[in-house]
Amino acid sequence: MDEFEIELKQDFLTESTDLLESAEMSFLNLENDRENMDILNEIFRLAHNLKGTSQAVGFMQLSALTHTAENLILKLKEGELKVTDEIVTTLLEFKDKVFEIIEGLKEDFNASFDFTELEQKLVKICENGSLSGDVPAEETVVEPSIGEIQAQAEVHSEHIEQFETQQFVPAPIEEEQQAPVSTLEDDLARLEEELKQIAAEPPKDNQYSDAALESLRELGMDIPDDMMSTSEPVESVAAVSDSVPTPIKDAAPVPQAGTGGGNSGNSGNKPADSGAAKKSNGPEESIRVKLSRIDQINNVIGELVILQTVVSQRRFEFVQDELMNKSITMMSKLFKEVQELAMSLRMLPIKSVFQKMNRIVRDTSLKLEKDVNLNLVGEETEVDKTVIEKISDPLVHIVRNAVDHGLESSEAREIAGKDKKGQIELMAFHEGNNLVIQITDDGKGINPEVIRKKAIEKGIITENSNLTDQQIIDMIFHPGFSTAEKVTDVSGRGVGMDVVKTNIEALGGQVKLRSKVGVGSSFKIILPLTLAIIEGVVVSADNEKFVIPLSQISEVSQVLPEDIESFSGGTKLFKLRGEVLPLFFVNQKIGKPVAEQKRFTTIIVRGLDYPFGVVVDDILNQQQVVIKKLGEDILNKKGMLGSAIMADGLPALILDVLELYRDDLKRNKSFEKHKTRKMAKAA
Amino acid sequence: MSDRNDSDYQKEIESLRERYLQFNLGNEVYAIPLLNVKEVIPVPNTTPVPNIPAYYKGIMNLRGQIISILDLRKKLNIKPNEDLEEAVVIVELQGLNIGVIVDSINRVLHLQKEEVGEIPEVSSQVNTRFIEGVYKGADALTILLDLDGILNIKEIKSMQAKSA
Repeated sequence: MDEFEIELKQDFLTESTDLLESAEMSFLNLENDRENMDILNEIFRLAHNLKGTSQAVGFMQLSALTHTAENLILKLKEGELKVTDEIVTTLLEFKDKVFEIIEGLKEDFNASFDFTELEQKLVKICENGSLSGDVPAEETVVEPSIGEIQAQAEVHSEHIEQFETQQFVPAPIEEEQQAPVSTLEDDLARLEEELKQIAAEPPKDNQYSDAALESLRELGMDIPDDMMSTSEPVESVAAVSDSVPTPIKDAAPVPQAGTGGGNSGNSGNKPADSGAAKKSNGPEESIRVKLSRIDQINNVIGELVILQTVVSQRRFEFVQDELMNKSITMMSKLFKEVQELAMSLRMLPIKSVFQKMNRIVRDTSLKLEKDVNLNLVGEETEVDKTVIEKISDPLVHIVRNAVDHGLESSEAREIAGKDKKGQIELMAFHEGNNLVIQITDDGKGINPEVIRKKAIEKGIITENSNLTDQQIIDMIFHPGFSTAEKVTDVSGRGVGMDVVKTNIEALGGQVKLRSKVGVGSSFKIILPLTLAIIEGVVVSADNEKFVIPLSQISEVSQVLPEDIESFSGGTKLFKLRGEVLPLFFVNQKIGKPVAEQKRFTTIIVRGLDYPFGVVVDDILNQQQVVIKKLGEDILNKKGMLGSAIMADGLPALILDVLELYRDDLKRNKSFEKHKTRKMAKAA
Repeated sequence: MSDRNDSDYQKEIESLRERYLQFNLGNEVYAIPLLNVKEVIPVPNTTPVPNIPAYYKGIMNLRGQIISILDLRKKLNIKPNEDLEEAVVIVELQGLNIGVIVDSINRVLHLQKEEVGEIPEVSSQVNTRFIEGVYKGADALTILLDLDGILNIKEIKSMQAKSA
């Protein structure tokens, strides 16, 4: 396989992931709006697109499966079959399978997949209209009469004339926008023909047929001109269109694509504003850029900004020239702007994650037989790509929980005097330097009494624990806590909300829960806009600077030496307002002795089950720092989030104190005993 | 590309392969392939990192990139020569950028294949596993080091692959 072929395949795989996302969206739209021709056309276009390209780059299995699905979609489009729940479900299954195949192919181009079951399902539905095998009674397939075929042929020769007069490849966007009604149909017909040609003349060795390359190019892939054997692509188009008029009888899709509107009695105007045309309406063009390049730019700009700060600070000492000073001020402003721009390159709208939730809600509510409406607000809110990748799982969990535990069954809702249809709202917005995602349901809410009982049962709290309702509600984030009365395969495996909480905290975020019995619950996830920058506290230990994320710091306290008690094994404990906490020294971690001090500046951390204190020499300042990766050669990165370059140009480690002392805390299993003993003594 | 250019290019690569950067570690003379060397800088200020081996000096900021600095003398158990000026050689090994501290840089050697001998029986402080060969120059023996092996690049790469 030569490099070009590999690249082509890789491009295809990345692009088809996007295609699938739109496909899923369309399938879900179709479910809500079953008669909508626009959606059907869009789906057909996507499937066709996928089939054609996968074949062209040589993924035959994928192409075969898509072909089967395409047949079904075509029947839906033609009105021969009606959209049913079953069909949508099967189409979604199809999308999942294709996704699986594409993921598999990403690993190995030659991977082979088994999809017989799905294929049979598709074929069966295609033939019978349903999986049960009953042919719907009202469905009669109308064979086109000879007259119709002739009419179609005429329409087609018109199209072909247009073909020959139009400059086809690569069609400028404006032209597509103003393009006549027939453009989409033409495209389809032409693609169909081209694919036929491709099938007819399989690529010899690594040589791609012009038609294949042409259709790839149509689909927006970047094909170098020298790959084409003919330097004028127009010729090959002409060759293709020559072959159109004759095969009308056997080439079923061609007339159907041409007069789809005619058959169903609609005017042919509708397809014009769907699919391809709509997409090209997008006001801005975009390109794919490797993430590593963007990171590189950010790196270099970050460094420039540091240098620039030095220049700015020193200029009054050394530069008397007014113009020079002015220029430096201007430069500072520009640098800031450039830095912001570079940072924004990593930002994407949260839409893709939100749309995934559509599917989750659909599947979950079907399984649970609940009627649910998902309302998405703020899909365009932009957030760092890494955040998008990592927020998906926790969100899935929360949304699933909202459908399963949050919303009541339809009957219960009616009794409670609510609308039968449950409402879930997913909202995203920016708040300061944070992204907020809010998941609200109008379900039964969380009853603190139920939680309290459960927590006591599980031994998490005791009978006499004096907790506010809010504190009790927050217990659902406790490890091993699942409120589901019965364990379903939807949710309630005992892992859940605690994982959600840890995942979100790992992103430097927080999750809050508000709930009112009978009214509903609302989760508020607050995340940093970017993972590349964190708010940190710069501390010093043994003359070295360290950064501790502000989010991990609960408070800072001065600890007197007499409040510290040492135990065997090096464990040190100290008292903080009657609470007994383990105490660690940053100096020990870097192998430096602990200096005697009158009072120890201690950072109190309360992320894990046990709170603890970390002693530092001094706290210098609080600032935003850009996180830089540590070299890959450091194998043991435990407890280190990365490093940040300080104003003096030196790197400082960003410590993940929770991780850094996790083992120390675990090792001190006996610690708990000490704690209870001490507490008993105090009481 | 014409044939002529092509062979010129090949020649250039060949000649680069034959070039080595010679430096001192303690009292011995060592060399590494010049193709691996990205730059030579004075020993920078470094920041220590917890939980890492002693030969690991710390991390530095090289124009925005965080790079680990290792003390090659400590790694190879060679006593540093106090009189010599230290330098850091930034090397690129299989895509990883690492800085190694050495005692003074000498010069760039141009070796002919036939001048490189087998690993000798002579006593060196370095494990023979990490020696690629020995160059017998006019004045002294130069040991050609296998940095990949010494720094365990393969293992690092596989760890990386596993974690990815």
